Amino acid sequence: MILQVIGAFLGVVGMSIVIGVPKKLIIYSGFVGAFGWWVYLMMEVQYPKLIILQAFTATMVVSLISHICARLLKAPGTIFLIPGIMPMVPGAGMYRTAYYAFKGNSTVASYHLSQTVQIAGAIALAIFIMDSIFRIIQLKKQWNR
Amino acid sequence: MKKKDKLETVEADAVVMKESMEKEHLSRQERQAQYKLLMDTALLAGQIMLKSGAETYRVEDTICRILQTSGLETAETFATVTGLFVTLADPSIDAITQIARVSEKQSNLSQVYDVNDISRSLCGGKITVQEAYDRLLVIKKKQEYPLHMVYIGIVMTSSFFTLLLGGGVLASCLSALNGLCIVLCRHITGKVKLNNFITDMLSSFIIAVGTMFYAHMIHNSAIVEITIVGSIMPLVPGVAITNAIRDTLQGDYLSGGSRAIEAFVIAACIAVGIGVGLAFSTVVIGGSML
Repeated sequence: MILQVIGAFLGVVGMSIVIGVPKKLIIYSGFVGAFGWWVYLMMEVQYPKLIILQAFTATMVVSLISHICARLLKAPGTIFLIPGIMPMVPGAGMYRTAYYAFKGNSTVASYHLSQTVQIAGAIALAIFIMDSIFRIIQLKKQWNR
Repeated sequence: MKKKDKLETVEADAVVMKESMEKEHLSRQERQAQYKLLMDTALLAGQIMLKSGAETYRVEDTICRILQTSGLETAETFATVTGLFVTLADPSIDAITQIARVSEKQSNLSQVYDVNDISRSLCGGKITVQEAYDRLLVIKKKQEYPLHMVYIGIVMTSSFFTLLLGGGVLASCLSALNGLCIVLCRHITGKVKLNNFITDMLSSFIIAVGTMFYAHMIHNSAIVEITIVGSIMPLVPGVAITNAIRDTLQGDYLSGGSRAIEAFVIAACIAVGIGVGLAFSTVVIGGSML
């Protein structure tokens, strides 16, 4: 598992270079990605076979850290969020959908397709929720003034 | 609290700009020229941000903040994924409206970061409009990473994402080879200026064929899946997915929808490339598919 988390750190750093994250922030986005993936793996140990829950929780955590980093470092939150959620993106589901579709097994293909869409939905929902929470916090601060 | 603070500073500053012009008794033409420069600055900032993959609401917010430093009555903007409209109007000047089309797209978050920085210091009154415009022109040309670093990044992404997904060292090395294939493919198609979708499809096709070939060479078909899944990660449209979600949340359904379509089409291209690649290599290498 340590190997996987290290892989996550380096992989997310590589991804950050490809999408052009500023040099001084690249370490932070690597840590966000690695921590998110560690949460994902811990969830897998705790609740095996619940892939959607894993993706949801990990994305919530990544989104939370991104918002905190954005406020601390005065940078757009996207810089940490985009590389951070990359490990959770359901690449395996996409592959299996294509694989079984080309093999002619449409039942299994559609099963994997629906699971891929569900995982993508879980990721979207997690980002939605965290964004909304932070917006409420911001509004509340304005109200208090 | 922070947001409100910023807005207040903008307003305080704005009064200064409009009033200072009245104090100096600038002619209408001179004032018009000043506002024109502000307009150009805002438009350039918006263009750079849209091109490098910022969310639509962030682009609109930045442009509005820059325009509000003028203190004029109307400062409106409307941005979509492919272009933006900006208007600045007041009874005291001739209205200025400009349209900019953004056709090329290249995710470059450091430019978003830099433009954000400049607009903050402009609204805070730390730099003048002319300085901001000059700095934006520099940023527009700036590349955070040279091309060879981007290529190294692609290879890193391929190989380490395979490790991340639990593929082990062998699969990770094979993915690094696949990453090199993607780099080569990008380099060639970049020279010929091919469509991005074709590049993605071709890359994933080569990945599938290459992986099947390696698996055939080392007589180990179990690593095919994990290697391919890890290798396609540099092609996955992460920026489009994230922005689609956040734009939709903001109520920018036009941008959210078009980015979602972009993400979906790229994913479909990758899937088709892999499928065709697997089928092709089955025919060439022989035997049943896996």
